[in-house]
Amino acid sequence: MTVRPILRWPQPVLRRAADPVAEIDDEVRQIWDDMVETMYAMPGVGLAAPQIGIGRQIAVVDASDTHDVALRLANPEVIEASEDVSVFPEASPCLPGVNAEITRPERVTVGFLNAEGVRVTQTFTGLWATSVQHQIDHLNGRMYFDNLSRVKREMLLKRAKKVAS
Amino acid sequence: MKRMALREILIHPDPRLKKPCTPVDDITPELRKLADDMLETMYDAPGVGLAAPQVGVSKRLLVMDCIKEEGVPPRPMALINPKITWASDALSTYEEGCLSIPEQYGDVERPAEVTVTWTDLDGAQQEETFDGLWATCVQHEIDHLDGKLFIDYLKPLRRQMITRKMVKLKRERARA
Repeated sequence: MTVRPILRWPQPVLRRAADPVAEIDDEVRQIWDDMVETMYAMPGVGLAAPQIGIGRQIAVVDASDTHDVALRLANPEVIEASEDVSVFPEASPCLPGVNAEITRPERVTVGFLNAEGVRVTQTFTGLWATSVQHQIDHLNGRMYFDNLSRVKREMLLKRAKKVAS
Repeated sequence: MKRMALREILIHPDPRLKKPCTPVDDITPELRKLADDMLETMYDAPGVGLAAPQVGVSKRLLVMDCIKEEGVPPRPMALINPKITWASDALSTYEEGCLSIPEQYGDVERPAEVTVTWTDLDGAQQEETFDGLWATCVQHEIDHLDGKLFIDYLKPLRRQMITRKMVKLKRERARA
């Protein structure tokens, strides 16, 4: 397993929709392994393949404190979302130094190809739900701050510019 | 996705701000994360320097960026195990403040220039001579690593007055 370098926003691969994965082969499994390693090194609670320069619908999530229950997802899509919302401060290694509170459905049911290549559905809550949605945003070419109002988004980008050397 | 990185800044009086910190002997991912979080917390405050004990970590690590001018690129620095190896005879006085002592300021006289050695986040040894605000800031932050605050340079009466105000502030914040 290798820690991969993380791209900085606004690299084009972070701004376009990723391609679906046709099947779970050794290459995808290798990408997953590297992504898990990279996520723990950040440290973070999730990572999407475009963040390491791969425009494919591959993601990993682990919102545990123990860092040992990484979930591997391919082609994830939200099937059902709760009306209840939750707010978590979110940040991304693609844009260091800033974060923002993002409101998202508190509970989502997501369909995806799991590590065995089987299509499954799973319901997530809390930080898991937030991180899964954050990854799906990435796979759609969106960053968490694209969910902010225009003014707030621009303020965040301005601050990020100031923090970057 | 990363979790929010802002750390809570301790407010004086707090025993953790009085305790000398232990040297860093290993640059772990946690230490890098701490340095990142401290920079973010410092910019957010906003401030020009922050020492690890101010966020409750008793380690010899400080961050600073004294660039204040608009249009000048920022210069975030993280100094591990910093040491002053030379100080000028010439002194300069700055009205100092501290993120752990909000809204209180006092004139402190310190060497105008200092040479500091430290380890950077890549583990490389660094040395630089600082002047102006940078010199004041780095000395102020290294003081933190030795459990010392800028108010320790003020007259006892003034120091006690500030401390009383901070006790009151903490009480109000706890109630809010």
